[in-house]
Amino acid sequence: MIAGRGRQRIRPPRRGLHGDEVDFENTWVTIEAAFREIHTKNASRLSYEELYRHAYRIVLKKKGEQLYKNVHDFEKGWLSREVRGDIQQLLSPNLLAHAQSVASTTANERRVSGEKFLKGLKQAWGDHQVCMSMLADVLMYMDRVYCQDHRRPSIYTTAMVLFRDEILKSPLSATEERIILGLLNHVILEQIQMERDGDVIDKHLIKSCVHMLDGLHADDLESEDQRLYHVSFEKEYLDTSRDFYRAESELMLRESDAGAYCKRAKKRIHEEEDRCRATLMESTSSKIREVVEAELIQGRIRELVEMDSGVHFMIDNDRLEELNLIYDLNARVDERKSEVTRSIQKRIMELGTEINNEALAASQAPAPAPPLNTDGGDKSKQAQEKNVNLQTVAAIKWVEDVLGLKDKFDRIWRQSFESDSLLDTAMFNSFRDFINSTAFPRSSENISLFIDENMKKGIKGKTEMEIDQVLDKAITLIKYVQDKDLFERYYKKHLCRRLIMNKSVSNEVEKQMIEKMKQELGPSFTSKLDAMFKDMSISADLTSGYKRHVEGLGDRDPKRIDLSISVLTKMTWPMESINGSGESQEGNRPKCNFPPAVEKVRRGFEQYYAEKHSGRELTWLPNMGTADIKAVFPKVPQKDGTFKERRHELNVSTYAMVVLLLFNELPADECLTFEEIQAQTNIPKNDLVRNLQSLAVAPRTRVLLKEPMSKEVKPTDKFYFNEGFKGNFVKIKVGVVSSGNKVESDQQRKETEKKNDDERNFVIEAAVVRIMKQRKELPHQKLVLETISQLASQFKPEVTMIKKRIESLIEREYLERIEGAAVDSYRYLA
Amino acid sequence: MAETKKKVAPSIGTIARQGGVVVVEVGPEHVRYEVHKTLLVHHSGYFRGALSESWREAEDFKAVIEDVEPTTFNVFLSWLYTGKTPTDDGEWIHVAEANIPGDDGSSGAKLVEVMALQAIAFGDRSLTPSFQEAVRNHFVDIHCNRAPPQYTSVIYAYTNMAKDNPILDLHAEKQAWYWNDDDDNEEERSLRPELPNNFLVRVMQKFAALRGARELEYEPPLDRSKYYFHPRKGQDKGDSTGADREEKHG
Repeated sequence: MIAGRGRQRIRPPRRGLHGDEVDFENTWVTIEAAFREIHTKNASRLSYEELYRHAYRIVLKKKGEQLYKNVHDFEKGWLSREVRGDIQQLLSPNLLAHAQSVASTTANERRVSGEKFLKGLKQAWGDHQVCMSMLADVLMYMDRVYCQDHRRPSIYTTAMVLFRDEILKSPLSATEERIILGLLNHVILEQIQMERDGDVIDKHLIKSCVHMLDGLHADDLESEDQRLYHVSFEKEYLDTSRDFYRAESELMLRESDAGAYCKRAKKRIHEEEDRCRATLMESTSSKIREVVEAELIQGRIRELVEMDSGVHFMIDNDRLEELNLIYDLNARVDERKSEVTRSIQKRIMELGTEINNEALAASQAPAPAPPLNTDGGDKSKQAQEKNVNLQTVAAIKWVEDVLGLKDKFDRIWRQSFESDSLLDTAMFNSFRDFINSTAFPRSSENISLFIDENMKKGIKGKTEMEIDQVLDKAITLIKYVQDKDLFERYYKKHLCRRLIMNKSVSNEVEKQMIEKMKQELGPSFTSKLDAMFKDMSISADLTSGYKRHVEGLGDRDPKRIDLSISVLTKMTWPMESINGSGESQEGNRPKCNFPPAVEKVRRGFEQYYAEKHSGRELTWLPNMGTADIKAVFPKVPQKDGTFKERRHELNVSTYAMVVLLLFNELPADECLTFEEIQAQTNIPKNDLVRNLQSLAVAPRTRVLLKEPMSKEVKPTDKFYFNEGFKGNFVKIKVGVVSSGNKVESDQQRKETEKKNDDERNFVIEAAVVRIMKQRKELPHQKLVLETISQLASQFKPEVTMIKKRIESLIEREYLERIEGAAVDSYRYLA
Repeated sequence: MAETKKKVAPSIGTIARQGGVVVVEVGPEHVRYEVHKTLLVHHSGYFRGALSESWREAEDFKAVIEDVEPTTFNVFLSWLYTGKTPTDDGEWIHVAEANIPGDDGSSGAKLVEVMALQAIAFGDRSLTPSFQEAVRNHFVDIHCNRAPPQYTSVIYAYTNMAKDNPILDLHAEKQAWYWNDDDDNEEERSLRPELPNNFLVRVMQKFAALRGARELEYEPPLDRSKYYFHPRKGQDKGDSTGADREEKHG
């Protein structure tokens, strides 16, 4: 059109296709016809370019609004006339029947007509989406230019809203008030209920409808929380589920046991999870879980735990799987798992108290009634002896029972409680509570006796690993003990006897035990025990050193006495057990008169020791020692008629050796009375009685003869050397009665506790002074609390005890009361 | 359009490996092009629509766009494959494969100006925002100069572009600032009758805006006598229609 100047011929821009104006009405007729084709699925030969160009030009010429409105009206008309009619065709009478009258139709009929409805709706929705996405493609220029400039929702969005309004929110029929959406919810819920009752339903179909609801919003702003799925369906789903599970829970509580209930509840929870994944939306998962848990667990867990078939029953019958289920349920609604925890703790206390009571009953079982007098004293003593043995057995049985209980609950904890740390603590507390129960004061002693038993016999023939297990069990128990100081006292006492009397199967294992204690209870707990071992190893060095020293003195004396010595540090070792219980204190123990040959050795060693360690005083404890003696008995007739001299090696206590050596210097037919022996040896009366019993009463080791022959040793008894002694072995051990570690008598226990309390007084005072020295001033309450916390690893002091110690410290002017302080307070006096 | 900007354009390697070309026939003569579908679909909303779903274009692997010049499509394709638009007139003519009979440099520039407008319009029509941005910014850079617009360009823009396209304002503003009556050569003068009314109105508005401040300072020096009736010598009083018309015109 533009005529070029001169030679130039520039091709002008074409104008034919871009007419100045656009004939909207005619263009729309073309577009509408094409849209109709699309909706009736005849679109395959439509030209995109043509439709796009039409829409483009309309918008370019600023007629976008008109186009938008026409498309909207077209869609609205299509949906309300064509699609709605199709949907209404699907509404069969039994689908429309109200819930109350469903009895007239079978579940199957309802399922089929429901599915038909869902399928139709799904189809209509799918078609609508496909068509609208094609329309949106063609109208892309309108969306991008007109809709964006004028802030209109895209035509696709508008069409989705139309589907909601024209289809989902339309009434079921001209005469019905109910709308399609309500029916849809109802049908889906009904199908889900059918599945809960065991039917198979078409999950994919439902999921498609759910997606539709999720894609549509109740408002026109498309806000996230206004999705139809959320505001319309989900709420109803949660409500009906709540009703269903409430009823089911009531029924199950009436009809099943706790285990079955738990199984069912867990299955229901998983079913709902699966349902949200496969049929509904994942976003509902947590909400429905809350509903199910609230109805099946929350209000029921206590009842469930306490049922006859509840936790108590499960524990007693090792129903580990059921315990796991009930634990799991409890954990779902309560992170502290209070109900299960409470029930477990209760059961542990019950079973633990049972074990305690059994042990008490066994130890208090009256000894078989001693015959009244005659030579009775003796018999009653024997019975007492027997009784002590029984009690020791009962003590060890107590430990084994506790360990058994611990094993049982450990297994439950691992297999049923998923090694839950809260329950671990709770169970630990319950064990600690019954083990430290005031009604059962023997735990410390029993545990120590248990270790003693194992150290002396139990671990014989066991592998390293088995021994380790035994030690670990012991450690487990020690950890429960609150009065660690009392345990230490018993352990030292028992260890002392094992070490000095050489009763341990293995010194290595003893040291392992100490090592474990060090790890678990800290080095301060084991420091004194360590020192005992140190003494023993120094003593071994002394023994061998002294032996070399003696050998170096000159020619070997055939009558030389070998010495094996244990030098014990006084502060380290439990003197009360060394001195013999309930007897004279160490200070006024009479010095035993050793025979000259022995006395020589003693002096020799004292000299040797003084050279090594000047300024140390040695006190001899003959009551703790043993001696090997070679004894020769005169010829006696043998079975074959010959005469033979008999030699025996006797292993006896040091006291017994001292007594026997007296008879070396006595003519064969002469005797010594008890009083004579006591006068010559200066052996304490009790010890002498015990030793003479071993030598003159016990049938197998009757090296002496007593007159009169009775079991009781009386001061007037006479003793002869038993020339006719017969022994079956060359080596004979003359045991002294009651040398092993046995359970304490009540009297002894009282003493031990008193000593322990005395020591506690010192420990408490030390702690109070330590605290006050650092703090200078402190209110009473705080001081008490700090003292308790400082001592927690050793024992749990009673408040009255602390109070008394504070009083005493004030009296001795370590502390003073602060006058006029608002609360009782103390000041440290340097 | 946000969605195209989010995605990184496919690399040439990817495009070549994927292959897949569609035929695009352009202009009234249906000039045939084969273009990689990946690229078209990535950059252009129009082609994304046309080549999806069950449209005839998608089925035939062929799109026909009659109302676009092959020269425009050439520039578009060059950008599509290289990401670049021509930087000067010579390159533009080369890339567009425009046919210029003769060697007058100024006519080439005029042609390129119209072609650039066509490219902007195509970018809009095909919903290819990156291309549109490139050519429009180029156009603005070149044409924000001290010269009035050429009328061919004005007529094209006002006929083929949306009324709210800023290019239309650019033309009007340039006309208001820089146009002088004697600048128009014969060719331009011949186009004056075709100037779109909308253009002229906008120029008037711009002109009024330019004058705006001065108006307040002093009375406009209007000379009434110039407009009074002056009877011509030897003429009848009755013959006054010409003067009336003139007055109305003012």
